[in-house]
Amino acid sequence: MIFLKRQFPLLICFAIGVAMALQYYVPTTLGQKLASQTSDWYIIITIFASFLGFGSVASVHWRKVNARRPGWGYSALVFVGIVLMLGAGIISEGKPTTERAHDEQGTELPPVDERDASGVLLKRTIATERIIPDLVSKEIVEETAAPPPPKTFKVLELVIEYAPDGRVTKATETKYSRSGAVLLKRDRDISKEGALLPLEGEPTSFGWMYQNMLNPLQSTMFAMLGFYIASAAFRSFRAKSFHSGLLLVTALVVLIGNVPFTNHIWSEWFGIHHLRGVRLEMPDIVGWLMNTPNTAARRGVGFGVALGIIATSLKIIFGIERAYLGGGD
Amino acid sequence: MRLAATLLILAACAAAASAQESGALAPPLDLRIEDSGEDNGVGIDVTWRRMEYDAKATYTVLVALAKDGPWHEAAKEPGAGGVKADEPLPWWAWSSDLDTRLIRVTKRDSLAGPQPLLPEENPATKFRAKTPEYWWKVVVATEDGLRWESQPVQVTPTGNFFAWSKLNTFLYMGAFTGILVVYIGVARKRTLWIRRIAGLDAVDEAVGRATEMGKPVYYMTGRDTITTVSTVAATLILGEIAKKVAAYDTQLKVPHTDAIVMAVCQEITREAYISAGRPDAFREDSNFFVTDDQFGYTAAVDGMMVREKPAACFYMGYYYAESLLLAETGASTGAIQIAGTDADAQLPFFFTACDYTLIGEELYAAGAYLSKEPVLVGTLRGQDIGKAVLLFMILIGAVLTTLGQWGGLGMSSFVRSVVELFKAY
Repeated sequence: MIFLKRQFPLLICFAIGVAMALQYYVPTTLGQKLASQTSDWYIIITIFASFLGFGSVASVHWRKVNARRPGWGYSALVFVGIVLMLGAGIISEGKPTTERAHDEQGTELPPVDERDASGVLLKRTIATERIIPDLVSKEIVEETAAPPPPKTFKVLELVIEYAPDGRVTKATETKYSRSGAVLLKRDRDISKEGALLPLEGEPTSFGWMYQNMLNPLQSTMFAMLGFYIASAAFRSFRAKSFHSGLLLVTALVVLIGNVPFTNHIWSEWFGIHHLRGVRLEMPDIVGWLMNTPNTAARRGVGFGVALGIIATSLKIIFGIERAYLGGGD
Repeated sequence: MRLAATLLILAACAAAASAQESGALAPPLDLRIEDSGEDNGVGIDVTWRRMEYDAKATYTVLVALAKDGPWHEAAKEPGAGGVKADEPLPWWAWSSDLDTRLIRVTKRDSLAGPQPLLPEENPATKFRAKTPEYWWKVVVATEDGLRWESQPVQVTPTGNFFAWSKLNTFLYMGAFTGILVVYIGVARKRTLWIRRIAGLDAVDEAVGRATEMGKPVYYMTGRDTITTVSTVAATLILGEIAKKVAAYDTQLKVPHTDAIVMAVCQEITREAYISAGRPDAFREDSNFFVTDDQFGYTAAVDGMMVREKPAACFYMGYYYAESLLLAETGASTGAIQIAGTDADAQLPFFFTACDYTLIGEELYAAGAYLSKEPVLVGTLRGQDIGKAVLLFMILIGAVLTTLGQWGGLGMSSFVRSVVELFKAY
């Protein structure tokens, strides 16, 4: 048991660690395959781990609801949110929009026109077809010398009807199931822009919730960052010492230098363009500050980080650092 | 193998002479068709010495699966095209020559023929068919109608087992590993001095304060996954802090944004409580998953901080835009805040809002610093030595580059060679 808990994970870690380090130096397909396959394994593990995450969230909030702790209503709302989003995701097959005409596997068929005897266009039908994936994989496995054309099914169809004078009178959109049954049939509002675009996707319930509920919440949090930066800047730029004064001046130059109007004042009002033959517009000063002293400092940090990463990786690969297995020796 | 696969086509001088008489071109000098180095077996290189007629000539590389053809065009380039020196490879892996022309046929689908250069993988078996024998020849044609055609040669592209251009980084890695091993050995024999890191010395103060106030300690491991080394470093520091939290009998809360990191941290925390002699105080839910959404996580943790007013907040690992949102909220609750990140763009935010900030490599040193284990401390000293060597190299590099730029000393090519030693390819 000790072997399984201690030595075996260390052995796996050593073998994978050395192999992944060496694959960087091996340009054969084997090396590339090793790198891509291990990242595939990680994705698979992540998917299983998401159940762990879900279990953790559910357990924390369930206990809160169960014990009727203050704010338990919000925890109940978490479950409502999970059910709603999960349900919408399942119904929409995880797609944010309905099928589009030009997606990965969909093919837009050439329009089929109906005209009267004099050649005036009366009706145009645009359809999108999708390859049935099961058949494709079967054909690849069988490797037939001349595979038959892949079987497809019609996904969406847009029928546009025209008046003899060329005006659009009606646009009807139909969505089909794989068996050919009509899932949805509706008339488009032809006064709307883009109504005649062939089968543009529309948000599914999942996509709608993402766009109209989650996105605004995320944007709100992100927008608050502006206020936090202002408050942090106020604290940072108090010139209490020479160093903080230097920081204040530099920050002001960079801030002001990024405003187009300042550049206008600098070059047009003050007329400063060159200094001893060197171009000296406001963006040049800002560029120098960002590219020279700032980059030098960042690279200094970068060197230390790189060495730290290598040292930590080596410690883990060689089993010197084993706390991540759950404690010391 | 590469040498064996190389065929030097020196068309017989006598043949060339007779060809000239019949209106054909003189053959290109040193024409070689050889397997490309440092690839996974998908390319061949065609090289020849610069010829007088190159400016008005077109070189066509033809490929076939048999000596007699049928031939397919693999590449067609003007004679005045690229030279060997254009390839961004270092001097020890590639002879950069301004007078040697180069055509590299690399793309698998560059052949117009019926079969690609490298057989496609069979999706059912995941194996490639055996690479067939490829025959190559070069046709040179000029604008004024002169033409020369090489004899067919058989060159099969093969994968290479070592990228020689990366030899320098391989050696540096070996040298750095050697330094670490030496200092681990030294640390086992005697105690090594390591410089003080104020942010880590303040950990005891922060946990003690939480105990006195009866408030929880918040610990965040960053926004990245367990595949990021900074996240691993953050989990290692958590182990040391959890030991102190357990010893002080304080409450620890670790909100997570990644389920795998959560699982790892749960184990680390459990072991920390056991090693501190307080397994009874360990709570399974001290590590909990919030969400993997960046701002959802931030909003939830900010909310918890405002409601519970923690006494100490630790931000270790890699952070993005949420760094300031978290740290400012923590600061507004009056908590002692210690941050450590290698995300240099977020460092200013942590400097502003936190009491102590571990910069870059200090994050990786923290686990060893807190544990005081001799072996780990040895690696810290090794890191410092590595940094000193780097500084020395930067100094030398700066001097050499300055001399090279000056040009007066004729050192440009020497400097270029030295610079190549320190480049990653």
